[in-house]
Amino acid sequence: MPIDSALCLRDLTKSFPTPSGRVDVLAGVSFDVPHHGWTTLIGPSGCGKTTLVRILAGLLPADTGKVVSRLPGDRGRSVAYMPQSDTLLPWRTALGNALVPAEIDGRSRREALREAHALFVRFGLAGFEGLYPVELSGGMRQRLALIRTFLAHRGLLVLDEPLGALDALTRSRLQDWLETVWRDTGKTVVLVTHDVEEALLLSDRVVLLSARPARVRRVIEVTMSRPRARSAPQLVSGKEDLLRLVYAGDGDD
Amino acid sequence: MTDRRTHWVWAGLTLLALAGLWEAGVRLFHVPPYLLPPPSRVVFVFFSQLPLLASHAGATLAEIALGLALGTCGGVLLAALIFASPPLERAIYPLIIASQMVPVFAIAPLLVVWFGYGLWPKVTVAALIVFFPIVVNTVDGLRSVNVETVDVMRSLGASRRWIFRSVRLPSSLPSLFSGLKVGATLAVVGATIGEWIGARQGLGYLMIQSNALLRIDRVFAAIAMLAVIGLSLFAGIAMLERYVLRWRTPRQGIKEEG
Repeated sequence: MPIDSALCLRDLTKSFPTPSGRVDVLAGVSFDVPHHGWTTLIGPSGCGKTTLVRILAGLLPADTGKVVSRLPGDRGRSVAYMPQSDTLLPWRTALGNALVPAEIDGRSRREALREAHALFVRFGLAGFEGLYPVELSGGMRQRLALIRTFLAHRGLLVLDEPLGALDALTRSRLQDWLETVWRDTGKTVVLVTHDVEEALLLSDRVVLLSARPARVRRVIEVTMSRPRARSAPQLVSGKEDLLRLVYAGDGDD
Repeated sequence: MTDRRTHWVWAGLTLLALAGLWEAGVRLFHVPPYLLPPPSRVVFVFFSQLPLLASHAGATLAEIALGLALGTCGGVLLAALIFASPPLERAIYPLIIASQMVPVFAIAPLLVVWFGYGLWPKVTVAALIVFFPIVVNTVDGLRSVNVETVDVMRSLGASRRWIFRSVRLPSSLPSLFSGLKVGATLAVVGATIGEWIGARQGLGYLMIQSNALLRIDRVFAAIAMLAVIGLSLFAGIAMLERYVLRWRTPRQGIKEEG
């Protein structure tokens, strides 16, 4: 296990029973997640990314293989997971939703309020604390879900397409926000996305997965200095290359 | 808001028109009042005998309220048990559904034999009918929860109990309220039927007595009183629902874009 890794995944396999026999979803997935780094999983739709992140989040056991963690605490308590769909509690206000992790952990409410307030300001939600999710726009709800994820005080954030459903403008603003907050907090992040630009903009390491059953096709280190500009020639050409790689995998793998 | 108000206006107008037709028909064809009194007569009796109606309504209302409360508490409790324990679900749920094939009214006379002419046979009938829509709706509600929300809470280290109390129970409230609204109307029916079978007071009792005396105007006045009770109950529950589920609709003017 490399010294700077927060998490090492080794030969993970997983299959699910279906009416027409077992379907392999993961066929020996191995990669490392660097400490305090940003790792992005990218691959064709339906390739098993969600299964993989659910295993990472401790919600699903792998059939074989192992996940070695250097994160403090056992794995169930070291990961904050944010799935694709809206998982806010609609009967709680924005602030009430942000306080859920502290409530579950039994942490002090005053401290949690202070932290929540700071993040509401950073994510541009100050003044919206008393609104219910139904009163927030899609972008605001995702920001709130991200705030809740950060407030979970876990070393590793596992984000499954957190910005997937947003319009391009909201999305790019949120990418910038996410990156700054991530840099300030020093969390380890695993992101799932379909967006190659997002991957190159935010990641230290991009893990390219094959079509189902998923294997790691390639691990790409992204070494561009931060903050990265979307228009930087390096990023634009990298985008082309990555896109070609993603598509190439559909047939020849 | 305006929509709801115009709704009521239209319903009121329709009711008035129907009453007008009834009044005209009765007068035109000289229907004797011991067969069908004109609505004006019913209104007159309703107000002139209001103290009598009110005292009987009090008894009926008590039965309805107790029946609704017991049926709801029992229903929610059983729904939670059914939800929490799959073996229990297999053992009980089909029986609960099958039990609905037995008309509760068929056992009402038995209840009189067992509990006498007092309050409890009526409360039991009302509670038994209320029970079913509450159980079914609450079980549905408990199951309707977003699986990924539960995943997130589990990954945050939430206990099963916390998830039940803070995620499943609140998310079952909308269907529980649907069940309550059906239950409230059924409770009125249950209490009335219970009184028909055997009672010393209550609107159902008054109806039977008045019927025997061919005081059909008073039968209609009692029916009108039951309608008032049923509607008030329904409106009260709807108001409570709007308050408890206020998170479901955005407050005016604060839905934010962007």
